[in-house]
Amino acid sequence: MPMTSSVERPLTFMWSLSSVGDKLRRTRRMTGMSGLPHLAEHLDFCRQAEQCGIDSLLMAFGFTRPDPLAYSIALGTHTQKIKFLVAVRSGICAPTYFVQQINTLSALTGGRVCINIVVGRAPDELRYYGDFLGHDERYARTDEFWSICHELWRGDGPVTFTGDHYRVEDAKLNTPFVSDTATRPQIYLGGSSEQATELAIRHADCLLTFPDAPERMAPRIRPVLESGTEVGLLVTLLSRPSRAEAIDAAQALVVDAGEHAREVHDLNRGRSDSVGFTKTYDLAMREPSWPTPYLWTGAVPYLGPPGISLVGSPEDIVTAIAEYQAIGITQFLFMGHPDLEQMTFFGKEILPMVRERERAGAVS
Amino acid sequence: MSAITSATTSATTSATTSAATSRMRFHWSLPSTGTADARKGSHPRFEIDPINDLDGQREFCRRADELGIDALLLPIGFQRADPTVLATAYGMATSRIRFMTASRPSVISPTHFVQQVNTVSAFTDGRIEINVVSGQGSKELRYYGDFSNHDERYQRTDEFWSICHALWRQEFPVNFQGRFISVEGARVNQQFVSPDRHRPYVYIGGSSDIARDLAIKHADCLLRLAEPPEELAPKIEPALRAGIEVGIICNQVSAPTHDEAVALANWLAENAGERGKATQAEWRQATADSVGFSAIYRMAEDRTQSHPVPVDRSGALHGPAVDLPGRQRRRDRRSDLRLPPDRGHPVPFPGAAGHVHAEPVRR
Repeated sequence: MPMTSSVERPLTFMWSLSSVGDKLRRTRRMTGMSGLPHLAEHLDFCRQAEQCGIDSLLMAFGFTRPDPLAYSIALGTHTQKIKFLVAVRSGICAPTYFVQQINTLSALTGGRVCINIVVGRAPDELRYYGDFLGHDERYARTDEFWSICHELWRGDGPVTFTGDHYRVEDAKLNTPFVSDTATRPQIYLGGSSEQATELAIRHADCLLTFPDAPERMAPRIRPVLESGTEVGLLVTLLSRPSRAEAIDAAQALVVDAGEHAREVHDLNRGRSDSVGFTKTYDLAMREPSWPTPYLWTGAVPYLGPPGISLVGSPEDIVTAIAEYQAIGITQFLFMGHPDLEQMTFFGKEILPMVRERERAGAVS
Repeated sequence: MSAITSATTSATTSATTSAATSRMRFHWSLPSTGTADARKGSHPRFEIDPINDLDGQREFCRRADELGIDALLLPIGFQRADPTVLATAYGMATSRIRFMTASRPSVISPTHFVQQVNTVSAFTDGRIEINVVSGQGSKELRYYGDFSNHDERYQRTDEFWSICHALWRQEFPVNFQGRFISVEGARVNQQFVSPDRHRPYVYIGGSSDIARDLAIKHADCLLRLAEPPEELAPKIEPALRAGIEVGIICNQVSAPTHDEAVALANWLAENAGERGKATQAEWRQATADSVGFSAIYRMAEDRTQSHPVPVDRSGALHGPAVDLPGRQRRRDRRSDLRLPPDRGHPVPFPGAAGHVHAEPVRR
């Protein structure tokens, strides 16, 4: 049974580089962001992440950001261990070319690259890139895109594919994916709709999704786990030495973000056709802000869906992680406020307890 | 790599008189099959391993950086590693040299492309330039999902670059509706980072009229394969008159004396052998709709044309980049050539024979 086996799988922890060094990035209007990378600061963050036992860093995609692929090379050639979880949207490049770029990146970093498939959530921004498809069509195209990518990575000879959105003939590449352990990158897919779930089962190693109370999540993720695909949570971490301090930090975050941030997110919400984003906005509106003693939605109106948070002392967070692990979740992609301090705290105060628990579990 | 200095002679020859006052710029094509590969260009494309010599390539970039080469061409193709990714890595490993990254408009969204290039510029202080190729062989373009014909490809390139330039001029929001590409409300928040430019320098390569017109519209420099100066002059005149620069692409085969250079050229052809010939026969067929490539293959076929001008020899088997044997001017650097002591059988050395892109400058 995949569900029992996933409990034995060591947990993987990732961090998002997307707002590192950019305090309260998510409270601002997008057109005002510079989009230029903070290389020195981010390199320090990468090295600290390596120290903290973080497996990979999310390199997000969007018009407000540096290109995640080029940025991963810049950081990857100056680091040793950390992997880069490169976000990609179908519809902005040819699958063959994408595989070629990723393979080249793998050759330069010793395979330290994973992929985060994003289907895209704001149609107006997708049109910046020449992508005019609706939600369901985007999923159909993403499916074709990844069918071609997987065929190229399998390396069973020239790839010919005829779909509604992509057509390639006799495709081959001389640059292989370079890694000691795999012939293709680990693939994550972010999304919460039924199409996202199906797509993750078909093409990904792990579905990344926003958290809800574990008992409500369990039935939703069961088909994914049963197919052998992992499930990971994308969540903000707000942990301090005591629960009271953590709650204070949570409240302070909302005060800091202010009413302006709320207006920004009312706007962003209207623009999105993403099921996951809408669900999480709704969850934040509908319920009291604590679906469970550690899951807090209070920051969502201010920071958007990625502001959904695990809040508490290190012991509380270890408990929360254990409850999610019990329903089969094996990966966590965190954000923090601020990221560097929160990640360092996680690496020092929380992760050792998690690993200790895993070792004890393995013994018993 | 000291042989590069002699390229001054050959490149100036094809410059127009008005260009004579500007500083000539010299570029080099980064060898993708290993920096010490004596049979570069003669391998069947399917057998090329583009990543077996990444450290050697990085070293080559550093050497070129020290030697005063202006830019290194990073070509594009299924048999190669991705040029934009390489430009980032090698750009961060060097301090001065620029990287001429080849780009095919059919493989990426223009908005994403501008975002990628701007990101690379931020890590290299703007040391990225673009070499626009519309694609020589239609069969290979199909690997990437591009099923268009020669003229359609150029139209797509025109649309792609119209959008790119609007984004670099920051005419936000950029709206464009083309036959092949449309964008709506497009913007990118990251700017091109450079001490003196708001966008990368753009080369467009091609020998057809349509390529020339495209270069005049979108590029800073038209790149053409080398031909005898008097034949080239009328062909490049419209581009020069329009105010853009013209550069030529050729191999450089240079040695201390003319005879040695010719011997080296012959050695290169013989060393490539029948296998090289077969590879090129196949490539000629695959690139039949490239005007420039076809013209060079025809020139090479005509044996009376093997030496169209004393420094221009198109008889080599290295594909349509023309060889330019010439006399090494800086005799004092001869030891760099690593020729065997007897000089009887010259062997190629890293950088002695390579694609050099010399760029006669306007005005």
